Amino acid sequence: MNPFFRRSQRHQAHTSKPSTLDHKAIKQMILDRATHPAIRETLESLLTYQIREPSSPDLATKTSIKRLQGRITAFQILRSRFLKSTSQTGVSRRREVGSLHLRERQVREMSHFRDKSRSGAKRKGSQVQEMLERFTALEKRNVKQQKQRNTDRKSSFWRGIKSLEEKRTSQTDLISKIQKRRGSTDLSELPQRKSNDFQKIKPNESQCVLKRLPDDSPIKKLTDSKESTDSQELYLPEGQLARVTLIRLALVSRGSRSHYNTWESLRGKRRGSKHRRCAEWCVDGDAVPSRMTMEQPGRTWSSNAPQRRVNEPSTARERVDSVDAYGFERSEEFDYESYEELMSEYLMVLTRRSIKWSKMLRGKQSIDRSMTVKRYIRKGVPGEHRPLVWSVCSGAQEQMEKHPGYYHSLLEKPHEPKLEESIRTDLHRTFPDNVYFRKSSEPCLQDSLYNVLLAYGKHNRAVGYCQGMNFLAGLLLLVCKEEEVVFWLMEALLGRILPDYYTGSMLGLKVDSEVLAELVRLRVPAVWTLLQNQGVLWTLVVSRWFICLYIDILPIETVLRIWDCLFYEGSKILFRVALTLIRHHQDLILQAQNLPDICNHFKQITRGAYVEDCHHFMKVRPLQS
Amino acid sequence: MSETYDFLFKFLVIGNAGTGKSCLLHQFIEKRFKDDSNHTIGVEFGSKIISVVNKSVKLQIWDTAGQERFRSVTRSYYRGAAGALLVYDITSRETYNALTNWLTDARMLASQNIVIILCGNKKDLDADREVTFLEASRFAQENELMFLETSALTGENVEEAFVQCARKILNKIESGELDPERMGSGIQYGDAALRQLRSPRRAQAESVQECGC
Repeated sequence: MNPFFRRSQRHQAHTSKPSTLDHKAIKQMILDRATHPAIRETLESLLTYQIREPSSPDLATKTSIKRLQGRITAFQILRSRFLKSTSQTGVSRRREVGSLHLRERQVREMSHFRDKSRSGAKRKGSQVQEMLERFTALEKRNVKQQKQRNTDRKSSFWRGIKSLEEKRTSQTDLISKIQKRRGSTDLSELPQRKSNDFQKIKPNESQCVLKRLPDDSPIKKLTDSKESTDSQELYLPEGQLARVTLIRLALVSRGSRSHYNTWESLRGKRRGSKHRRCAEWCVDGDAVPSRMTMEQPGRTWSSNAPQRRVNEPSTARERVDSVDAYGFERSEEFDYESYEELMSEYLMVLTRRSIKWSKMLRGKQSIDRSMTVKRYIRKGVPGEHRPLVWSVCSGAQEQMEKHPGYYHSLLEKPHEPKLEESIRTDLHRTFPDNVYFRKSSEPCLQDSLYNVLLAYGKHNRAVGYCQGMNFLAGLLLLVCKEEEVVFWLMEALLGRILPDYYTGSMLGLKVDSEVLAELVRLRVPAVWTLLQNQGVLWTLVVSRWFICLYIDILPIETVLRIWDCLFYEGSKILFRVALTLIRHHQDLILQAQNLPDICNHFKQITRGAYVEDCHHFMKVRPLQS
Repeated sequence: MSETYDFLFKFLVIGNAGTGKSCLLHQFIEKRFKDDSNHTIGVEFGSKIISVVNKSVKLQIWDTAGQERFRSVTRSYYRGAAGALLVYDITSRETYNALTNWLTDARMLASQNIVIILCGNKKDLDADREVTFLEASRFAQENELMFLETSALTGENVEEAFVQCARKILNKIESGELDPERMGSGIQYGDAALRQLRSPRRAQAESVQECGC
């Protein structure tokens, strides 16, 4: 199925059905026998709590206004960026300026649309510039009025929060979240804008109205943008709380049935058959607005596409670099057309995430653990922040600061010929398809790789060097560049996140293969039975997945997104990915008649559009049916 | 796609890391040298149908990771292998020295009658040779192995190694030394030939066993 199609459907469901749990859904879940007892308990307490504390629509509206303003800022930055189109970094991005221009136009049209939706002006490509000016003028004019309005809003917003805090002192997660938000978001810094009419409508009403509107209605777009921001999570903490609890539960019961039950029961009940087709959109209740912004203008936009391509190179193949941003050469079979399409969307996501992250970090060198951060990480860490985020989340940063000079002292330790030899054997076999690992390339990463692996081998003698570690270190080098940081990240990864994966007995790997087998038995029994009947050991199919942590198996961008979560959430993400892959492709796998087929199919499922679209892939829950 | 064959043999490719096991397999199956190959993690898998002494034989080949610690993972795949390629690198004495270990493993964990061919790979790098043909062939003789020097780069002796190994197994079946019916022999009848082939050979095998008693 076309993922784009699905996405558009998803987001419709989102508008027509709030992503939080209502009483009915919760009751249903409690009555459902499949629900894990622990979850049922949580839900029961949740229900009583919810009845006592109905969520305040007033507060909700206030919050969403704030969020919309944040969004507009993002749009402004985006626009200015794209207009200049000079701040793009990376070889491939530069190549994609063509598509960026299109995107920028789209963004402009969007903003113009927002403005003009009320006055009913029609959109025309030639008028874009004019509209843009008017938009800016409008904005200026509104600043004054808005300021006053906003102060009122702000105070009532915080009053609301405060009363909420008082009432729900036991819900520590929520409070920490709110406090965090209070600390990190300064409303006065947001540019002000006149509030839209729809915001005065209460959420439920607006949804009824929305249902009746045609899909391309500008109002609908605007509401979508409001709906799809993650603001609900703040003002409708019930759903969030349930999620927090369930995620915790999932963490505790890693590998057990309940882990996956939680996702299913949480999602499954929320999704009536009517909205089924679109429910995927609201994973975590924080669907990504940019998807939406891409989606609908896309319809009108695509019809114009041929004209706009006149001045561009003729094929996607010519426009897209044959080497990706990380230095990997694209294979012969690489689908440039769909990649370009995907990237034009994903670049928007990246830019937006980048803005959000910069705002969150704001020069800070630390990252707290909170649901916001988790959500941010799930949605991807921007490349420029990856070294920091990874090393802070994994504790590598702390270790590095505690042991200054340790890495270099390791390198100066006496020679260990056996270790050196085994590392050397694999040096030229690490990313042979990456330009930075070529002997001829200027800073040849092979030397750094050798140093890091050697230092690690000397540091952790129980592990020494294990094949697969070269991939880990190689990827870390590509991302972080600095040997010392890479070393400490390796230390965090191998020592804490994946203990026993690479030691002599490889116990961790074997255990995790079994755990996965068990999960598959519970969740995708047909596949498990197939492998059982064919006498295939799970290590055959998954040892490469787990040892390489999906490097060289999934597309690089997807791998990085998985690693984002790996550093923050730990190794459970590996199971999630495996289960998602297996579950999504179970029909294909089940076609296998014999062992070679199984091997081939398990290789096949790690390729293709499904895994290329990393942003979507990361949002899939293993138990979506 | 209909695949017909008379027999199916399970093969192993074992040996130290970096000796060129995967390249051998790739050369055998694809008939070209894999220049930018990665090291094998765990186990990889390949299959090819060859024809030996008028019979078509499907080889189901398990290519294992060479690094010592992966043995704990790959060992589970040894069971029921009919043949094995034991690979060392002629330019590295270390890989040669490790052969005894690999041999013990294979004999112990695979079927008892496993047919093993010793392959001295990287024959094209004759200038850097550390292990002479003579000593290796002596080792092979002592341990009842077949022996060939191969080159995955040029393709020299690659097919030969697999074919020789398969031929020896076929001979053993003919002579009744190997019983395909026995569990864990690593041999299966192909669908096509199942009926015609089974009865005469079965009778023959039984008669041999009776003689041995």
